[in-house]
Amino acid sequence: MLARKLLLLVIVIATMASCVTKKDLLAEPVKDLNAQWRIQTVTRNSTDITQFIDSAGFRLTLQADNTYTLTGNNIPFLVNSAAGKWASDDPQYPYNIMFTPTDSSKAFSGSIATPASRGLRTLSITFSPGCHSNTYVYTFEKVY
Amino acid sequence: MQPVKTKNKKPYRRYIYLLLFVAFAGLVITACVSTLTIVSQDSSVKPGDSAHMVIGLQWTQINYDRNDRQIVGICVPKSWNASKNTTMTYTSDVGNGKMVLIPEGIVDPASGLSYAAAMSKKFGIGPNYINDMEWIVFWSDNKLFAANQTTVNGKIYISIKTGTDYLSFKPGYAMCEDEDGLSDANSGYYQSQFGTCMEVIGTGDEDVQDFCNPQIGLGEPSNSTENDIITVKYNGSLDTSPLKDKQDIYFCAKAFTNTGDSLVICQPSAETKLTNYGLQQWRIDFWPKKFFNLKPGVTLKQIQYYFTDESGTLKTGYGNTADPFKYTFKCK
Repeated sequence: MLARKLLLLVIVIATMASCVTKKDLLAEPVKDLNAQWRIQTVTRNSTDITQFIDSAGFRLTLQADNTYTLTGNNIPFLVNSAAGKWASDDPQYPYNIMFTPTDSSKAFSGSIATPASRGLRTLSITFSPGCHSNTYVYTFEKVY
Repeated sequence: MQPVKTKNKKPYRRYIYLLLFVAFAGLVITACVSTLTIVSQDSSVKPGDSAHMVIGLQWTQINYDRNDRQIVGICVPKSWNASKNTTMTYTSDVGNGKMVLIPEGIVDPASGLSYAAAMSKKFGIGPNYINDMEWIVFWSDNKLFAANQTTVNGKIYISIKTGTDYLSFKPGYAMCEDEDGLSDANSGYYQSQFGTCMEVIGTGDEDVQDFCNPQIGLGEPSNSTENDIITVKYNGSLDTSPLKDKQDIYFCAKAFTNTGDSLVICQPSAETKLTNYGLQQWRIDFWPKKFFNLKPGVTLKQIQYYFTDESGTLKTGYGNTADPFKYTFKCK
């Protein structure tokens, strides 16, 4: 009897052990924000105003060492100073980007999205630089 | 012989066509037909008081029994913050209750957008001239049953606490029900209307933003600071001076700062040149901080402006007078 019980137990254990679950781990890629970005579109309160503003020269450079530079900004941005530090909250799922200008101790943050457009990663930053009732979305494309 | 034959066939054919048409129409018109009427609307309200509107709804079920939520959207100035300041109730043949804000995440089945975004896309700001309005959308707290082939009548009572801005505008209303949303599959799934001009004006000496009537010069958005992008529009079709026929129009502005200074930018240049965006319609979009080269910490209270030609001899002011147009910075 004992032998039969043991055998049954062994069979049960063997059956359970034979099922090895294998999880497919699809890692979300780290969003590489380190690049020089230029403006593709600008919306104010959901209306596209890109064709009416001077955004051609706008260049935002995010460096790997978490410094940024801003040049040619003829429209308001989260920060208007030419240089400082930047950070994002999560490299895989970034929701916010923070800028701290060199001439200030205050950080300015906006929410971001990194949708792919025509196979290229774009960067959208949503923020209110002036009155809180106005929301702007700047969508950037990589220069390099 | 031939003509006689066809004569005999015709009534028979017609009958078949008619049957086919009825069957096809029955397939296409599946749901309900909605009608919206504006029953009453305050014509004048003091800023900060409540504005009242009553709209009548009627919906008819055509093909089968339905149990849907009725959806009502209103289009009002953003400065009212109406999603927080509105109470809406309904009475109907099939029950009374409250209209509540549509919870986040519920979308219009026809477009996949939120109802507010879908209404904004479909109906815009109607006959209003200042694009500083928003759609706020409510639905009935309960599903309302209507049997096939019945018509339900209802009324929506709206009360909105107005903002403190002095303004006049034409409120927008829209209705549909939650199963079809703003579907264009057939006419009658939804309806929208804009009311007559409602004034929200007090006894103070504030500028009135007139959403109801076209203006020669207009600044947008109505709430802003010097760190926003400001749009100033010139509507040449309303200008009685010869400036409207000029090739190039320029912006001539004086900004008043919080420090009591005034800064003038009135030289025809690439920076002050307006962009033509339609027949006799021009605009300039600028960042005041950069445009007026403001020092750190300096803020703006107001911009007074004119439109000029390249030589500066033709100059259009408010209502074609010698007074400037005014754009006041405020943020509420």
